[in-house]
Amino acid sequence: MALLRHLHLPSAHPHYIPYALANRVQEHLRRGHLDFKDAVSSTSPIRQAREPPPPTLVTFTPSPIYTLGRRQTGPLPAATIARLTAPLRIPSPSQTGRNDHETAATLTPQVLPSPRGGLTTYHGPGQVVLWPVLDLKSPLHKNFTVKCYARLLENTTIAVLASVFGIRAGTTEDPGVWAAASSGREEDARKIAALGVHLRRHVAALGTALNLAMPGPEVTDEGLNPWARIVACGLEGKGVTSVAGEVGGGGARGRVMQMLEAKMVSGKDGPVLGMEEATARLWAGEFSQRIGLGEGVEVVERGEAVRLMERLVREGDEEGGEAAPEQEEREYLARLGTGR
Amino acid sequence: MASIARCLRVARPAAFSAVSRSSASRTPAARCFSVTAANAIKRYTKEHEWIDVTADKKTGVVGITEYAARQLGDIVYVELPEEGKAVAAGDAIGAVESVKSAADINAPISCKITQVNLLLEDKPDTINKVAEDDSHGGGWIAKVQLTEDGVNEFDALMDEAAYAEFTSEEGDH
Repeated sequence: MALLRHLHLPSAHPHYIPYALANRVQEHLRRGHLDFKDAVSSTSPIRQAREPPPPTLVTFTPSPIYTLGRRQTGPLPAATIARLTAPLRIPSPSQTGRNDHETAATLTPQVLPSPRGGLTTYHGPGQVVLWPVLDLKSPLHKNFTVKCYARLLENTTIAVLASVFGIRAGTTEDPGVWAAASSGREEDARKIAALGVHLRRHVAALGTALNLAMPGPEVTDEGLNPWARIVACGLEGKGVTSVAGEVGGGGARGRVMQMLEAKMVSGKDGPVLGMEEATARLWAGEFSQRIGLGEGVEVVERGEAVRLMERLVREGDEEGGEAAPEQEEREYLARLGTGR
Repeated sequence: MASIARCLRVARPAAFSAVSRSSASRTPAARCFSVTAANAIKRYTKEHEWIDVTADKKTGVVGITEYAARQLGDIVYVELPEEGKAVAAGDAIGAVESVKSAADINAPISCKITQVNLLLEDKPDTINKVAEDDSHGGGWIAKVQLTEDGVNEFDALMDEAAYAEFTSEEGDH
């Protein structure tokens, strides 16, 4: 029986993976699905030769980036670009005592168009991005229509928030997942996970991003709070929150970590994972069950993930032109190489 | 490749070359000189596009099916194909975006885009109302000229009964 593969692309403060490199990995996986579908639908002899590619969940925490939706075709005004790409202070993720040599860093956000639905959103440290790459019509697992797939992503996140962190969340008429307000009023709900999917011949890419520890609306300084620079997804007057924000109080980050550790089968999951990777692992298990593949997930080792990224960047180099890797991608990989 | 090309399209417009290269191999090389019945001229793809061709199989109209429109939900934006462009079957020629997702529109057959439905720029939700209407005010997406390969590919697509069966098997999850 097929298993969901989970490929987590590592980030270590303040060296977060460039979004372009994560996208390179995603496109590689998606091409595998599309090429397979081509081979099956044509009459070529390789028809029976291969198994369908397994569904794969790519997760990561990117360097700060604002992505634009498909609708935003015109160039952004220079003033908007300047505002988005102004230096952003990223606090050290470990205020819990672990790795206290780490300090805050100042990073420059990028701005990139993306093929997903929706409007401008932000991805960066304190968040885990979850991109399942799968054929919605694959014989390996349950099949989904577009609408049901979007709901599947939302429901997976809602289940993880409830079972791991005890956070009550749901959907509203706006996309994404929203943490319920204590007032119980839907208009007071705050966005905790964004959603954006792109489909090409039923092969899904992009997915959802869950806020784990990010500044809340009380932080109005744009130098500290990336959300203060945009109206997230075009939703005027809606607040953004995170898991730590909902858990609340001082030391929220440490308590989030404890909740994650309590849920990871102790000892069996090997080394202690960071907040983002641990959350991604639990999300993978929930997602796997919901597509009918059981709780077991095939975890792709860090070394294999790094080798895959190195290979894709090398191939991008050889192909050149538009496939050529960005300088940031090389720097990130070089650091991983030495830090391994 | 297609979507990384799209992702980076502002910075790197040349990226689309990779799309046409990969799809070229999909186009069947065989030629068809046979003449088939001129009725039942609407066909459907597994990716939920429809194409309605004239009796002489020279020109046609392309759109997405009512079933697909229902699945997508409220359509808020349509990225129209490029007029005058020659495309191979399966090429991404545009996209429909609903609140939560964006889905590529693929060319059902090899063809040349001769006209696009500009009404959809202002009223994308026309597709939710009349997805399979190819008249003025309808939700059709493009008018096309069939190539020789295109005629061949057209004959291999599903007719209405086959498509109805296909969508009933797809079901709802």
